[in-house]
Amino acid sequence: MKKTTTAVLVTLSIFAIGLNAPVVSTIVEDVVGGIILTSNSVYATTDDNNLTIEISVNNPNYPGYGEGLSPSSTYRFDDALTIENNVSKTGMEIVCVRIQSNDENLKFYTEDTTPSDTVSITLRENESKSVGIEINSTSGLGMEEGRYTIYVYSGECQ
Amino acid sequence: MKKLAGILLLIVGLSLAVGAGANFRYYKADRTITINITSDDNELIDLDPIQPYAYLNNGKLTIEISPNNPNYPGYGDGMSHNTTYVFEEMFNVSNDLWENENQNFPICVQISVPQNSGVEVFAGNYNNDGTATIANPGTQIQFTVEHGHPVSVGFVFDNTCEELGAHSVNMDIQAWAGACR
Repeated sequence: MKKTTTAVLVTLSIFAIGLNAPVVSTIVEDVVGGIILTSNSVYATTDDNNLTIEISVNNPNYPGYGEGLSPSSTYRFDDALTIENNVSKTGMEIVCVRIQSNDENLKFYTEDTTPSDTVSITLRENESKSVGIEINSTSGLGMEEGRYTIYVYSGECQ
Repeated sequence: MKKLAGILLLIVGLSLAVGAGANFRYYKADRTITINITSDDNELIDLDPIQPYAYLNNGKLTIEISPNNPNYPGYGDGMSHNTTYVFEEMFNVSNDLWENENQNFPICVQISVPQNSGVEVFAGNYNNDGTATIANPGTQIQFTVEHGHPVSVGFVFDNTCEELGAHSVNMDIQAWAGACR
């Protein structure tokens, strides 16, 4: 009596699955701690994948006119930055986003607040709000850089 | 002899550590804004001197009718007492906001001078009846500026009650998105 031997060879192929999230080519999107930071402003661009506002001839959007801002003047740009609590990235239903200026000539405002060096916004699940920027240009000519910090906390703003 | 088929199963557990950030409490990032501060005739809302009585002083538009003006030609030191002067097209206001690349983006410009200063402003050409084609003379005027269509601003200097000597008046210029209503 013959016994057949069956060899079962199990080959397990291991594929290296690159779990890259599909690249959505949104114009100017930056993710900060899960918060999506975007801008629809023509003055917005990216610098090393970080969202930035650049009002100079160096901005790829520069149309050939309007080289910058006047000295000793005040400018307000509504809805310059939009922040969104994308829950799939933050995992938090409620977050507090605080945008704080580190420059006395740069202020932020929303539709409910007047320009101030700090603006705090509570965002619920997948909620987004936009923030305006106020720039007080100095009297000197030349390039100026204003810095700000974005803090993201879980829970409502206090 | 029994042959046992050895089945070797290699199970590799591939566990993916997905950082969903479900436990984050705090995050911080720094960002920047860069602007170029340029002279009044090159910026988003240009103020361009046209007459030699107007010039850019450290990039800022200045109207100066005196020998201190860099354009002073060596004659005409100032204006007479008890006389009214009208200067058309002292400077232009242009709309060079980048939004105009994608859409028609007019702005409403308001120019103010203090009352009782002997100075009035107007926009467009001055008419013989004392009006002007775009905005009539006054201490506060408003007019719409479209991209590619600069508006000229003129001045009325009424020196009737003014004393001799230097007079300095501050002009305030404001602009808002959208045409004037």
